[in-house]
Amino acid sequence: MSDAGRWTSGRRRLVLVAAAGMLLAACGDEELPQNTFDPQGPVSRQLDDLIKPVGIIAGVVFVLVMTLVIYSAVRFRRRSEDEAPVQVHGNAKAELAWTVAPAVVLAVVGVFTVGTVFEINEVPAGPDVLEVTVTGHQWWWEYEYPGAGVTTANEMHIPVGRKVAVKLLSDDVVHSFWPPKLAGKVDVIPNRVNNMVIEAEKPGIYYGQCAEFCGLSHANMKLRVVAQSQADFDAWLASNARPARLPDAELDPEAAAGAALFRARGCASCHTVKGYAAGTVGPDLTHLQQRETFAGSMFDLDEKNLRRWLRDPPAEKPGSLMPDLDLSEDDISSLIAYLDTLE
Amino acid sequence: MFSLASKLLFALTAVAVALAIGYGFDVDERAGVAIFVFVAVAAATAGVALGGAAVPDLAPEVPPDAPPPQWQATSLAPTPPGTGFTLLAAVAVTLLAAGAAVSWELAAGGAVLLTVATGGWLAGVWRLHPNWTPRVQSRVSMRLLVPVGLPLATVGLALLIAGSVSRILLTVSKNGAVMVAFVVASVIFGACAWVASRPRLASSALVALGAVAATSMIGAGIAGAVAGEREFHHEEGEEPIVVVAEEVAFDVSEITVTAGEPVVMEFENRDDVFHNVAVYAGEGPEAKPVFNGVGFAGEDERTYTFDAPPAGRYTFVCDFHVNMKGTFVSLPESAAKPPAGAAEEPHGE
Repeated sequence: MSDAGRWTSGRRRLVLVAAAGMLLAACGDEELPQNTFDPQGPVSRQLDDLIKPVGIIAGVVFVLVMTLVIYSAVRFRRRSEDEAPVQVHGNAKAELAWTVAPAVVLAVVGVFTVGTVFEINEVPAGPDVLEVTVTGHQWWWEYEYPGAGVTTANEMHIPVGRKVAVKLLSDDVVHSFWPPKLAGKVDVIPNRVNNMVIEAEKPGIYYGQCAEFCGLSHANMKLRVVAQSQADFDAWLASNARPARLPDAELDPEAAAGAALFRARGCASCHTVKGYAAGTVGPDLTHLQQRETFAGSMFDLDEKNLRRWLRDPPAEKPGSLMPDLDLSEDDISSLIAYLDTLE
Repeated sequence: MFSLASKLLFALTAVAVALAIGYGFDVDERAGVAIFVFVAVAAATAGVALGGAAVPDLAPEVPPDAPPPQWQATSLAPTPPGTGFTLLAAVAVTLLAAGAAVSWELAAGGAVLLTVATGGWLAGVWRLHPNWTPRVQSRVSMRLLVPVGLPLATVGLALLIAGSVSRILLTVSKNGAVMVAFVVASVIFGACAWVASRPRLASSALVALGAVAATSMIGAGIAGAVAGEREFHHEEGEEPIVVVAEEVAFDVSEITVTAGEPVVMEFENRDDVFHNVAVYAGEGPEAKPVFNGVGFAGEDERTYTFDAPPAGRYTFVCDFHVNMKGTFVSLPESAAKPPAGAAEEPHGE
């Protein structure tokens, strides 16, 4: 008993210390990219304004109830084998209190919660509202700007200070779109259109990720929302509406060879490059170089990462639907040279 | 006073009436309303029937100083017990009659059921006869009822009820089907809960309840079968175009579609290398893509869907093997589809 008991209690203490450490670490860093308690837009602020008072109320209730439970357990415990604790039955005042008080608390919380739920679920419309269609794929996000002829992946651009009406679709399984500093999470369900509203107050990059387990690389299904001024956003949208330019075979023979490989090795059968390929399975690569990341925002977009990716995608991102295409190093160099031209 | 069972059945009557009215206003469809009315009538009838035979749940209160009951001589003439086979026979006859009007399958089912009911009824009468001894009883039970009769009866009843419910669900509208399924599930759940909550329940009450449930279910099923299935929405699309890749070659040299219409292409790859079907305007690196189907290794098949491009002449190729190619013709919408091979249209881009 003694040895095993001591070891167990020692391990328990260790676990407690580690847990407390993790909790404190979570509180400390103000630069957490996916901090739910750091609202940066009116929608997330609205949620924050609800969850903080409710959290405080819940905390007070928790402390009160636990105190009463512990007090009662200690005060009215059986003190010896001979005497039984005092047996009581019924206390109208206490029963009334612990029925009415929670009812009142729940009613108050309920009024504000229901109000917020309805407000947040309203789909805004009008000329000031930007519409974006978000499609979840295993394991990356597709963003379409209807009317603008722009489709991009993983990095969503929005103008600052404008409501963005997001229409959520799924191509395969259930995902959940979650940019915590801008809004709550909304599930993305196949054969169903869900709506959410996001809005950023100031320019910046807001991070998020899929919040519903969706398969092997669920954890690698990240997203970024790039909020920029209206002028910057308009420029981005205009440049992304252009088709891609085909590299000149004489000026840039390596990129031209890469373009030929892009079709011959089947890249075109999955990816769209506007004006050159019309695949519909993978992300649109027309303006790949305007993005900072690729593969579900899993990797920074640079030559080293692209090379590793093209050698064997499933080895880099578990379950990746992009197969190992068995490319030679020369082919990879040519393809990267071509991808470099997709600006 | 009515027993708890009849009160429950009256409640079910009220619910079914409400549903019939609500359904009538909401969906405005006769068959669904008829089914709910049927359930209401069945429940009300059963409620009245069980109410008449009600046995008080509690024993009558006897004051402690009451005199002991007096002994009375009674005659011990045997009373024949009730039987559920009469109800079953009634169901069978209903099925036979309805089947005669609707379909021979239903009539055959009725005939089988009638045979079972008659057999059971006669067997019940046999039990009252002096030559029915415990030995005969155990032999019949061990050799006929337990190994054959019981499983057959259970499966038959389950099939009958499942079939009836399926008819109901197919008859009423989609929302109606959800409501019916919900009501049926609630009734089954409620009835089982009620039976489980009674420590001692007269077997005749149980049989009556089961018979009423089965009768209303099967009756509603017949009503559903008579009303026929609701209209189902069928996806209608273009006849799919079938393309096969085998030994690094397509099996067709020309594909014809109508401009603006959706194209459904079933592509089968019989090789163990990657193939796909891609449609381009023009040839070579400058060719503008219309559609690139996803590439895959065989043997496998995929269905490609895309919108047909504006009228004109295009090329279809395998992106992986440029020598695999053919002509892709998009006809103007106005042009009627000519016989294969007769497509002669002005050149596109």
